[in-house]
Amino acid sequence: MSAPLLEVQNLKLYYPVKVRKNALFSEKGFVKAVDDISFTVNQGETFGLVGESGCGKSTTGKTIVKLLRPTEGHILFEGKDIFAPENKADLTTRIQIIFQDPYSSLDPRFTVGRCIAEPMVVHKIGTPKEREERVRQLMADVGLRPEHYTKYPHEFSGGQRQRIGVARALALNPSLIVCDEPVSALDVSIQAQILNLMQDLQAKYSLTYIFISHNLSVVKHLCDRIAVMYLGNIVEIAGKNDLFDHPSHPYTNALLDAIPVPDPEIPTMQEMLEGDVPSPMNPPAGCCFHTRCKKACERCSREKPALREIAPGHQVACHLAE
Amino acid sequence: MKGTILRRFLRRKISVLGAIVLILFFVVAIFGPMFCSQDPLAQDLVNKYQDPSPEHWFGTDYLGRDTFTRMVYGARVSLTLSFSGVITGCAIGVLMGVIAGYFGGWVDSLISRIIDILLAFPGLLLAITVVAILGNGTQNTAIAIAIFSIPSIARMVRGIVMSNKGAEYIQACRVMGASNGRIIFTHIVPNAVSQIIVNITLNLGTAILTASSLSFLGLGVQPPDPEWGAMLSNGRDVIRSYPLAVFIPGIAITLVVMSFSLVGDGLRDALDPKLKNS
Repeated sequence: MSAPLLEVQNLKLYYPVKVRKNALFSEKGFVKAVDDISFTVNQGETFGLVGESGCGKSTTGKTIVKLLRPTEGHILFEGKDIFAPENKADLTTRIQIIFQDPYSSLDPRFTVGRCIAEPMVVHKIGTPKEREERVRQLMADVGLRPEHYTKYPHEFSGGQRQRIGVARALALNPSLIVCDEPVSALDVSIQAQILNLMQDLQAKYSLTYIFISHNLSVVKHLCDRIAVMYLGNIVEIAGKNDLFDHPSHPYTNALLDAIPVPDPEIPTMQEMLEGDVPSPMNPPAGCCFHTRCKKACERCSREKPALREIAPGHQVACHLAE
Repeated sequence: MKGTILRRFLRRKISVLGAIVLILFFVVAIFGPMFCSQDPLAQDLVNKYQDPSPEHWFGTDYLGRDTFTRMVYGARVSLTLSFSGVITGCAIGVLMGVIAGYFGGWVDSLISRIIDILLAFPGLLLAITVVAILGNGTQNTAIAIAIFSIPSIARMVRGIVMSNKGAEYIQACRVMGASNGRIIFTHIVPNAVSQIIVNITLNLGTAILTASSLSFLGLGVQPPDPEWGAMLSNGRDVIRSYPLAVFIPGIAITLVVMSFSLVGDGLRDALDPKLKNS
C-alpha cells in the first residue's frame, strides 16, 4: 500500500478554561476536545468522521486546516508536518475546507466571482484575466450559471451558496478537502444534490475528502472508511461495510441503532443509550464510554483501551471486542 | 460596484437633499471668501444690529460687522474644524478598535482601558481639558475634537470586529492563507464601513456643536475670528431685541448637522448590499 496522504499522530487539543471555585478564586482547567487520536487518510478516499455534537470531530477538522493549533501531536501531509514553518507556503494550498454554514462562510460584500477568486489573489496566482477564466470554469464545475458571477451571496439559496463555497475550496487545486458538515444546514432535497456534486468533483479532480458529519446515512452513502468519535477519542475505525455490518464498539452499535428508519411499521427495538455525555473537562478514567456502556466491566473503568486491529482495516478501542 | 452605490443613494430623495445642502455649504466655505467684497473683521460701530439690506444681506452684528461675510468665513472655520477633527479621531479610533478587537488579549485590555478613561469624561469636559492642556486656538480645538471622537468609534469598531472575526468567512480566509492585514482591510473593515460612516456623521454633528461650545466658553476659536458657535453666543444677549443674530448661525448649524445625518443614513443604506433591491 502506498504511503497515506494524511497522517494524524496522537493529536491532542485542549482548550484552556477558567473554573470558578468560589467567589474569589478560579483555577485553570482544560476542555479536552480532542484527546490523543491517530488515524490515516489515503489518497483518493473519503474518510468519514462521525460522532455526536461536542465529540471533537469539528475540532479535528479545523486543526487539519490549521485553524487551531494542537496541544500535542503531529499532522503529516505527504510525510511533511503541516505546522512546520518551512512547509507553510507549500501546504496551505493543498488542504482546503468546506464549512457547515453556507450563510456565514461567504463575505456578504464580495460578489461570487470575487469570492471564488480570492484564494488565487491571496496566493498571487495568475493575472486577473486568467483568474476570471478559472473562476468561470469552477462555477461551471459546481453548477453555477455564468450570470451569477456578479451576484452577491445573499441573492442565493443555501444550496447554491454551498456550491460557491465548494468552488472557492477548489480554486487552489487542493488535494485534500475537509468537509465540515457541509450539508447539515441544508434542506434534505438539496443535500443529495450537493453530495452528488462532491462525488463528481472527487472523480474529476481526484480529491481526497475528510467528511465530518453526525448524519450516518450521509456518511454511509459517501465514505470509504469511517472513524467514530466519542468524547475526544476515536472508538472505532473501519471500512464502511465493515462498520455498518459488524459494528464492534458498543457506542457504534448504539449510534447505528439510533438511525431513524423511514417506516413506521417497523417496530423500534433500539436500546437507547442512557445518561449524558460526561464533561470533556473531567472525562472518566479508563474507557471514556464506560459510564454509559451496558457491557462495562471493572477493567473498563481502570484501564483505557487502545485502538487495536480486530480484522484487517478494522480497529476498535474496546477491551471486550473480538 | 461604485455605480450601483451611487444609484442606490440617489433613490433616497431626502438624503440627496441633505447632500445638496452640504455641497452648498462646502462650496460656500471653499469659494465664498473669494467673492465677499467685505472684510469679516471690519467694525462699523455706527451701523451695529442692522436689519438685512442689499448691502448687508444678513444684517450686522454687535460691532457692526457684516453677518453674511462672517457666516461665509465662519463656515470655513467650522467645517474645517469639525472635519479635520472627526476624520483624525475616526482614523485613530478605527485603528484602535480593529487592533483591540482582532488581536484580543492584553492588547485589547490596554486599549479598552484607554477607551474607558476617555469615556469616563463627559465629552465637553474632555474637550475643555484638552484645550486647557494644549492652549486655545483653532488647531488645538481640532485636536480636542479628534480626541473627543476616538472612544465612541473605537469601542464600536472593536465590537464589530469581535463579532465578525469568528465568522466562518474569516476562518475561510485563514485557511486560504490570507495575512492578518488582508483579513482586516479587505474583510473586516469594509464590513464595518456602514457603521463607521453613520458614526462619523453623528460625530460631525456633535463636533460642530462642541467646537461652538468651546468658542462660546472662550476656549475655542478666538475672537475676532468668525466662528458659528461664537457668533451664536454673541447673539445670545440680544435674543429678544435682535433675534437675527441668533437665528442665522443657529439655522446654519442645524442645517449642517441635519444634512450630515441624512447623508449618513442614505450612505448606510446604499452601502449595504442586503438592502440593494428594497
